Amino acid sequence: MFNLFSGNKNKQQSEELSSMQQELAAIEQRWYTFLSKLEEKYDEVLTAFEAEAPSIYEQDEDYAKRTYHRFKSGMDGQLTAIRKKMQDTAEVQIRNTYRKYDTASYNSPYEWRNRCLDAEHQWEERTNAKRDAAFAKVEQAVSEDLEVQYANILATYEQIKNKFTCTQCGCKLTIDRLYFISTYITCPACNTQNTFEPGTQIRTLEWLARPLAEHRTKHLYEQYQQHVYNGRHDDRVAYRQGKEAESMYYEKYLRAMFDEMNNIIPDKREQNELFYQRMLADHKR
Amino acid sequence: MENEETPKLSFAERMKQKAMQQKNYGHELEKPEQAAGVAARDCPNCGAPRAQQDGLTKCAYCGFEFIQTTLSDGMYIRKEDNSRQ
Repeated sequence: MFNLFSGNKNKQQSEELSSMQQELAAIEQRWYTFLSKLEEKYDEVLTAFEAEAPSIYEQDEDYAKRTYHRFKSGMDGQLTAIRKKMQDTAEVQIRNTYRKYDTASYNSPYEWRNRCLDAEHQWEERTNAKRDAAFAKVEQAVSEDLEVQYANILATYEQIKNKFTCTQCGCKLTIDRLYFISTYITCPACNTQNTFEPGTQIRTLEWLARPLAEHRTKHLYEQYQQHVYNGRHDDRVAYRQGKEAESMYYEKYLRAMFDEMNNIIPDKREQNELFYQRMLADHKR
Repeated sequence: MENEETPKLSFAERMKQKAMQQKNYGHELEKPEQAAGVAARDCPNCGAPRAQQDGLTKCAYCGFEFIQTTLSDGMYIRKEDNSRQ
């Protein structure tokens, strides 16, 4: 009736609001600084990766380049750890603070939360793009090497295909195709089953086929990636059309990739087709 | 004192060192690289060679078992490569 206490109440509310705003502003400032420092660290790891990876690949004598892949996965692990640290901090500093002050009233720090989380989202997008670009740059050099390896294998095959004779009767044996695993070659004169051993270099063809095919069809993979549907799920028509287009481009890429694989190792066509069907089914699931 | 003598490695160099020192799972690389070649396995029991029409699993003359499993269709080997007897 006399409104004796409302003045104190308003004053108290205003003080609380001001202290909250100060706290949020301080957190926001710290958050941006933290993100920028973390991005510097992220860039450092990427720069080190770009500098070291090509030489490791070159020095690696292993046919499957396992040392290079260990290094790559270790460095990628570091990048993941940095991203995880950012996400954990966002959870504690931003989301938890928002929950603390989210009172569903007019002074809910909704915009503050959106600004901070937008920065998080942009950070993730930016660093992911940097990571993909750095990996692609190194992989490009690596992929070019695959073509050289493949050409060397074909050259070796040309050299050896008429070089062998039957161990039983000495008749000339023809290695009629590029066998990449040990196989029996029948002597045309005495019918003896000679065991043909293709050698270490030609054996690597089986492991080379897929990365090489992926490298040759990279443009189709990029085309597919541009058509991956990221739109709304509640708009059924758009969703169906988007998904259909995505599947079409994926199938186009996958078919071309497996055709390349079949060209490189025609003897594995049957197994490759089963693999193709499974990958296609997995994508549609 | 020891620390002063050891050169300080950067993070990436340490990672590289670890990657290079780690032992490969599975088998090691064949060194020196094995060259392509041809060999024939004669029967250790009677010395007869294996001919195509007699199959791969048993010696056509003395029955010695070259391969103990029954062959199924593979990339280069077919079911028909099992010896009949």
